[in-house]
Amino acid sequence: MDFTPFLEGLANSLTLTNLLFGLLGTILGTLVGVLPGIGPALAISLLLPVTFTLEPTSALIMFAAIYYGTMYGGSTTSILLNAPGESGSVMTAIEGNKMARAGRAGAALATAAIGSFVAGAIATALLALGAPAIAELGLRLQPNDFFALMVLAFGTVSAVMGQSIKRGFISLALGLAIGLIGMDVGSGVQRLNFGNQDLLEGISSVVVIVSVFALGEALYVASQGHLVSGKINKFKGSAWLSRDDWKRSWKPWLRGTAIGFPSGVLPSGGSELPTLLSYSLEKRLAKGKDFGKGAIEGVAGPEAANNANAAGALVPLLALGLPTSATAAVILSAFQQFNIQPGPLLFVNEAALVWTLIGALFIGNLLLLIINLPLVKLWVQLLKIPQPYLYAGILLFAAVGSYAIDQTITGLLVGVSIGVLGMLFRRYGYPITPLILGVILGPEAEVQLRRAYQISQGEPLTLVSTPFSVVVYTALILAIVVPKLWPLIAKKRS
Amino acid sequence: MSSKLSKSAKGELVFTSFLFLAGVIVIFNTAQLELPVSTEIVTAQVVPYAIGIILVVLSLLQFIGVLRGDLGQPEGIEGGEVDSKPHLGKFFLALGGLVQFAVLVNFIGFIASGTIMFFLVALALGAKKWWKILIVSLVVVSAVYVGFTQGLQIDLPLGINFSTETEVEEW
Repeated sequence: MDFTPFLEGLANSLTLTNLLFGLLGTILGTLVGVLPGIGPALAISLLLPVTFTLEPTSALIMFAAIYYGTMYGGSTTSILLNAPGESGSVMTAIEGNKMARAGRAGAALATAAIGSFVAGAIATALLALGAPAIAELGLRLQPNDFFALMVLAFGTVSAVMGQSIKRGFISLALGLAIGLIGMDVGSGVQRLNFGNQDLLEGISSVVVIVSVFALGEALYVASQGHLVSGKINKFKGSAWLSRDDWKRSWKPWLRGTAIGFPSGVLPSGGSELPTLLSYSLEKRLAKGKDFGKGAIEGVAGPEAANNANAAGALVPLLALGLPTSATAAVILSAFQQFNIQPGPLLFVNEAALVWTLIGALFIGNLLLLIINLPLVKLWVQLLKIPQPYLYAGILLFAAVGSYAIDQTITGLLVGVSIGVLGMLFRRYGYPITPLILGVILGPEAEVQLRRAYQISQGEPLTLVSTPFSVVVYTALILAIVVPKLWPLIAKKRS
Repeated sequence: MSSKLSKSAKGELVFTSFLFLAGVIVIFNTAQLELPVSTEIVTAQVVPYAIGIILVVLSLLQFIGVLRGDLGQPEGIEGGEVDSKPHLGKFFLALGGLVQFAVLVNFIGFIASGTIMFFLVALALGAKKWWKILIVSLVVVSAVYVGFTQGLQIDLPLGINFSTETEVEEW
């Protein structure tokens, strides 16, 4: 394998300017990621405006640092406040918070940070090795194959998330409908804009993401509940590991990476499943030792799985242009803001950029470890901000982001309406990720569908005419049917 | 039957009806499209029709599901608790803050409309002492304004009065 492009990318990301952007991204990412109520997808969306005025390379380097920073910040909130910022940190909170209560917050934070670094480094290396190969395969794929991949992403994410499959698919359909708004590129016809010229270019995916997450969450809290000032666990000493902690952590880090990375590559609906699997595995291997009382393995494994999953999601995103989680979908829209379309051609047309990004992921990951462990006490101070102000501040950032993208009253009102929709989704148990995936990926799926039929001159079975598409649709059917049938089979056997 | 339904079920039925209506609107709008003459095999109507039909069918099935007792469970609140009764007053306070920002930002400027939004949202989410909220709102919004306009060169409106003054000066 030729390592020259990767080394060149690494060298590009090591220039003083790019290192400074990486540093700034790390700090901003951690700062926003630490705040409770903000998962990585929202954190990245909120910080998108910060990169608007930069040139693409610097922006993407800063972005890579923000990405890892937000992932890292989430674990701090889980451990010290028992408030996981996203589903991937739920497992970390179980043992991590108990460790913190027992006066071992430093060890919990250190194993989370070092585990995230180890997983991030291994997963980024796998990304560097695997993505070009997948991109090469992607170059051979035809429009019907791409359409099949997108249907796979739609199907698995909608079926896995939410309280029922029906709710998942309704969320997806609504997202696809929102994605239709504006002028159809193929025919020039205006769809679902009801004559409003402000909507001619459609609704920006960043506005949808920010609105559905930030506005939706704030409106949901205001209408359905109340905020409680959480008790922050005391943290004394430094965030570091004892010899025994190292001994207990390194294997879970590697196992977590092994579980997290492949599940990120496949569209399995985010980091919920791999972190749960990692936690269960560690619990089983430890034979219950310390589990439930603050076992370090229960933090090390899931944190590594969470980070490896996040890096794994970059493989289909960069190589095929296929986001497999809400966070990856946000990153896709970040690329699109610079008119860069991830996919197989990215490694040909924008080789320098993509390798610099991969190099920046390595550097960002390292910066995170060097900077953040000594600064943990500073981040903890952020958790003392009263929550109502915190939410109001998040909305302010969301407003800046939305305004920077769309300065019309219509655009901003659409954002508010989507916020109300986000609130109702939370109230009635509808998952949000399928909606976001529909908005972002829907228009591209339509393009591929139309292209496939155009090329085949209207051959009815063109969508299942290649071996690749048949394999993908079979995988989709299995992914939806097996989890439903499995309990029945198990019941019959027992 | 309706008398036996809980408030939560009624609310969910209304929401499901809205989803059904959204599907109908998609289909209706698609039917109204005037397509240009082209050789396209899959026209601009095909996908919207499919999405509209899926939305209508699924929301109908969901409506029946809700009637049969398949109620959606509210999501938990990170750093908070879900209450048994909704707080409509607080909801409209926060919503009012957001709507006024959307409508007024281009007229009264980012600092004024942002401060009102921050104030109303913080109040709706339980912040106490209005004067304290007002000071925090003003300080935070001003800092964000300066940071984004001066630091990141992102254009945010200062308000109609100021822009008029500038125009007069230039003239």
